[in-house]
Amino acid sequence: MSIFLAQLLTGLAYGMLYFMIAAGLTIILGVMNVVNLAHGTLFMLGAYIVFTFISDELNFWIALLISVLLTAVLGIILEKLLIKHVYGKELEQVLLTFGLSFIIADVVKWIWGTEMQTLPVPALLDASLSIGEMVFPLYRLFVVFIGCLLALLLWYLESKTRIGAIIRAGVDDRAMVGALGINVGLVFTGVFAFGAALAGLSGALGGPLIGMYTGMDNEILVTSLIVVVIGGLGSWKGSFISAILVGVIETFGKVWFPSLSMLIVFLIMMVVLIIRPQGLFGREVA
Amino acid sequence: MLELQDVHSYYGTSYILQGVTFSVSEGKCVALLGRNGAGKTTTIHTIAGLHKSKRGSIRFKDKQLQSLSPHQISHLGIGLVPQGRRIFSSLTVKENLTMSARKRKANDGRINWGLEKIYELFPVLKEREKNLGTQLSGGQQQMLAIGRALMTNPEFLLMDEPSEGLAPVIIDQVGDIIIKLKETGLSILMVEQNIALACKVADEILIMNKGKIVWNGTPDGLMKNEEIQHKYLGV
Ligand SMILES: Nc1ncnc2c1ncn2[C@@H]1O[C@H](COP(=O)(O)OP(=O)(O)OP(=O)(O)O)[C@@H](O)[C@H]1O
Ligand SMILES: [Mg+2]
Repeated sequence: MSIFLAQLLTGLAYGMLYFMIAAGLTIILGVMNVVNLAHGTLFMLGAYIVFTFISDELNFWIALLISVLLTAVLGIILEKLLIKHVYGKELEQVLLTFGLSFIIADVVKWIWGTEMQTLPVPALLDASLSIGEMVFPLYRLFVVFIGCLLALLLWYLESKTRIGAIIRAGVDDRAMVGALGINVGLVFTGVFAFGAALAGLSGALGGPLIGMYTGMDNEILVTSLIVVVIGGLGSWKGSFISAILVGVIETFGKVWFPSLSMLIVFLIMMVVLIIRPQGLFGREVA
Repeated sequence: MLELQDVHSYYGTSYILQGVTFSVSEGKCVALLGRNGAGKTTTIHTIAGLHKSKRGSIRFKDKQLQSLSPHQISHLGIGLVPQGRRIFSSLTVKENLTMSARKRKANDGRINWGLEKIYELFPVLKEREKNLGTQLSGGQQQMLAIGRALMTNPEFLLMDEPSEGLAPVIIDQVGDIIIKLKETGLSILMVEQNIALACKVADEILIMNKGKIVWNGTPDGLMKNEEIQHKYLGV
């Protein structure tokens, strides 16, 4: 029983991590119709930035903040310089963001090398919570908490603020939003930067859980794409549910069928797509 | 106030606006009539910046519009009530109104439109403020589209077929609203297929055919000229 609960927490923690990554990906997809294949490398970059600043004896939290800010700034630069030229051009988007992911991954290798690295769990959270005979690592609980907080924040931004209304309106009818005096280009830059910052944040928080290694960017990208597809393209609420699903199933899969865990996740994606082709929360395609 | 001078517009290789010239002076309502596909919406979109003209000049007050983007044109004081209303379907009635709200820049003594004032003009929108915009009837959606444009406090209103698909009683209401708006000092360029409505509210009538203005005159002049009505409006 206690092992089961501990596994469940691990699954939830991974799920929340997947949610944080997939949220950025799916929001960018939903708002501007861009599949950002460089999202995984932004995640990796987020982890390495924290790694660098921690090595400089900075506190984990300050390093995390720097990582979020730097990935957001990188997001602004990428959108203004490159992405904005390929809106509406799907093939170009794929080539551009895929190319970017190679470039960023190579820069990461060049700066930080190819050795595996880990981020230490921040001191404040380097403890466990015991309830009866069950032991829960505090950091995993913390990641679950942050994931829920992020969901709450997204819900608030989307449904209770003016910028949320503008973004939803932009999904409905982008040209009309412009004709009402809103600078849609600026909104897009902001959304892209927000998505990039979410990748940076999840990289920073994920570092202590999964470490950093060559190829992690692609693994993370594939997993978050699966999450986005199961949840329904462009729906962060769908991604919340599907990320938990994927995180938990993957974790239990690793215990019970170690060699098949990824396969199980793919199977679930297939089943969902057969029953609901638009994903759990996707907009119905007319 | 608004002046188009020899404006040419294309969709790909199809030549749509073939040298459009007309003007709307301050405080006036001008109606643009013409058959389906004449280029009326293209004219509206070209003014609003949603479609770029190839040649010609579009001047609003002392500014050239043709190289500006839609949001810049909106900020100069041009509001758009588009054909088909284009209400944001995932927003509530209230959100449709507030998402683009802007205070009046000039302190010219005119109404400063805000949520309260819009609800005064259209009480039914207040009753339904929590509904999604698309749950409204056609007439209510038209009022919402007008309210949404007014919330940006424009000096000039572009209205594209406000009577389209509405019942006759509702069309009368829309006409009364347009007259009210005119009395607040708003200048209006209105595209219409409903000749009666156009003649009721407009000071001047323009007729467009195949991307050119082929006739202009007063509502009375149009009513008397059956040949023009027959030739260009299919009456
Ligand atoms: N996006 C587009 N791409 C290509 N051609 C278009 C496009 N929009 C309109 N057209 C064509 O341009 C011409 C003028 O269209 P426009 O919409 O301006 O007509 P309209 O006078 O507003 O007609 P209606 O009364 O039916 O609204 C039509 O022949 C139409 O088929
Ligand atoms: Mg039209």
